[in-house]
Amino acid sequence: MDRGSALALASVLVGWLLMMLGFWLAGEFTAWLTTRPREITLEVLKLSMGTVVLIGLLVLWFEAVKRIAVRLKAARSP
Amino acid sequence: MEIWAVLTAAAAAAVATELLTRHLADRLRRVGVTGVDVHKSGRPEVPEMVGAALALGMMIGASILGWADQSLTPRALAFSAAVGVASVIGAVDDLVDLNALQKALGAALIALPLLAPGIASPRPFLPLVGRARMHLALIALIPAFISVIVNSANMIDALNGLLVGSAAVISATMAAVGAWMGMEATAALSAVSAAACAAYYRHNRFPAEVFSGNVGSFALGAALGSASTFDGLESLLLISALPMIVSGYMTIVSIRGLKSRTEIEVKATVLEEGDRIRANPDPRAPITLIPVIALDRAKTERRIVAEIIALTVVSSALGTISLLVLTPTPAR
Repeated sequence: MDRGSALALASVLVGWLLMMLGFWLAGEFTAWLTTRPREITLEVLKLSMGTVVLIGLLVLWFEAVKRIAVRLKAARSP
Repeated sequence: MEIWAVLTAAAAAAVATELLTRHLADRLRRVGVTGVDVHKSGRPEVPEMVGAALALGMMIGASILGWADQSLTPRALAFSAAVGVASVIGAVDDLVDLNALQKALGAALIALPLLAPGIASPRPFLPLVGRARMHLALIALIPAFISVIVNSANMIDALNGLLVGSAAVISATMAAVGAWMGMEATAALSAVSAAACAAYYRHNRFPAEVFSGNVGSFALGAALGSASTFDGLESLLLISALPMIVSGYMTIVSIRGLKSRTEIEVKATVLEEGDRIRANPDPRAPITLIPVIALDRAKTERRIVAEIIALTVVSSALGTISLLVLTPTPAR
């Protein structure tokens, strides 16, 4: 497997792991919320928290993949 | 859910797509609606916007499903409406090139039929977590979700059979997982999409006899997105479509926003001897999944498409494992 294909595969595998981490964080936050007084409720809050974490981590990873690709391409260019 | 209704609808979608593709390809070639296949040295002219046949095929299949199984009628209608709106917006984009804002508004329009009461599930099924609940947030999140899927599908449709092959894998996964978890609407409508994609793929695979155009890619994105919302399987779609989403993100960042192909000055790839594709060494060239795969060495179009579809198989398997193995909570 060449470096391009390996990077593409890594982008999917790490992307999946980060998504799972985001979903796990959403679950943890839900559990935390249910132990709080009811006035903090709002189901939306737990999901928005998980979603923000998930999107932030994914964007960081996708950006890293893009930068690695740009570096590899520059290294290959004459 | 009546299994015979699903099988009939899927078969009807496949037959309608096949017949309409042949008919439209001939018609569009005759009236000069063609595009150049830039990844082949002969630069053949191929009928454009034939993805309308795929959109119609899916809508016909969904309508038959809604007629044959009345428990699925509202969602089959919403599916057809979303695919119909998406294909109209895609066709307009093909003809007049919509700008970024118009495309974003268009994606919100596609989501409208899904926001009708009782259509999209307010309880998305999340990996590791199980059923979540969101009622008000749904109104904001579904248009954003549909926009991500539709634009990702649109941006990856650059090589013969790439989008349709990937969408067939994702739809088949959603149909299988949906059926396993008792999510009837998602399973049935994904089966209809998968059947239409399989019929259309014969014509769109390498060497392509037809191009889908934005009309086809928007419709496919809408079909995938809407089917997943009916029973809360958005997370499965997000994981399965990771190759598309990674590519879409890199495209938007490297070209600085949503742009039409004519606005992109430098191409992402260059064509080398023997019709091999390589990442364009120009630093201004956009980075997408296609040049990433062709970073180290030039590859044939068929090879790149096979690699990305294989990645989609991997991501779909990961999505399936996430929901069926790693999530202990029952689906319902």
